[in-house]
Amino acid sequence: MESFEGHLNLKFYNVDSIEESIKEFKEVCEILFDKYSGKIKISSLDEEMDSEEIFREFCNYVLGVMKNNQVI
Amino acid sequence: METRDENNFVLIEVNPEIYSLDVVYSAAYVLLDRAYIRLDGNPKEKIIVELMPKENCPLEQLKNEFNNELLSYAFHKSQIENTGEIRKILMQRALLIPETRVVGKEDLLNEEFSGDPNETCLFEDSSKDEIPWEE
Repeated sequence: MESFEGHLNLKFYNVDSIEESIKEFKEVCEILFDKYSGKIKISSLDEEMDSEEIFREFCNYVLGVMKNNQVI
Repeated sequence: METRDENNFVLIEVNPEIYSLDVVYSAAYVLLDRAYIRLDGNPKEKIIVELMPKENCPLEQLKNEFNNELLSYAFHKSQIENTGEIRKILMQRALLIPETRVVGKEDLLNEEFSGDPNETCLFEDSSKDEIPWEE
């Protein structure tokens, strides 16, 4: 299973929003997240989907969740 | 604000003293459907915005649009701050109007039938005075 390691700077990304997003992505990939360092390891469950691309979509998704939570 | 063009993404360095973090979030949110965005750096010293275009979106155009959005939201924020006191006063006025009675359906029905049935109606039946068009 192909995987990609990335990082989200926790000074900008809210841990609760990241964890909420992980739940939404669990059907597409397996995500390991270290809530102290912000390290993220993504393993795609679908051979056709690139783990790095999923990581980028994931970063966008977290930003969206943060914005929505702010509005609510 | 500084920009660095890499192979297929651009790094924009934003000064948080000019554009606050919430302005950067708002500007990034607008472009989420056209670019992959990642924030890095230090929110108090230097915010680094990584923009990678999704399909069919030129890098240069994306960078310029992000800069425009930053400016637009910064202006919007300053306007909100400048007019905050006026909006507060208007809101207070709107909420402090004299006490009004909320009338429910039951109240309306009671009032309608509590009056004297023989009392003269203010709106007399005008149908008696009606003249047909034919005449």
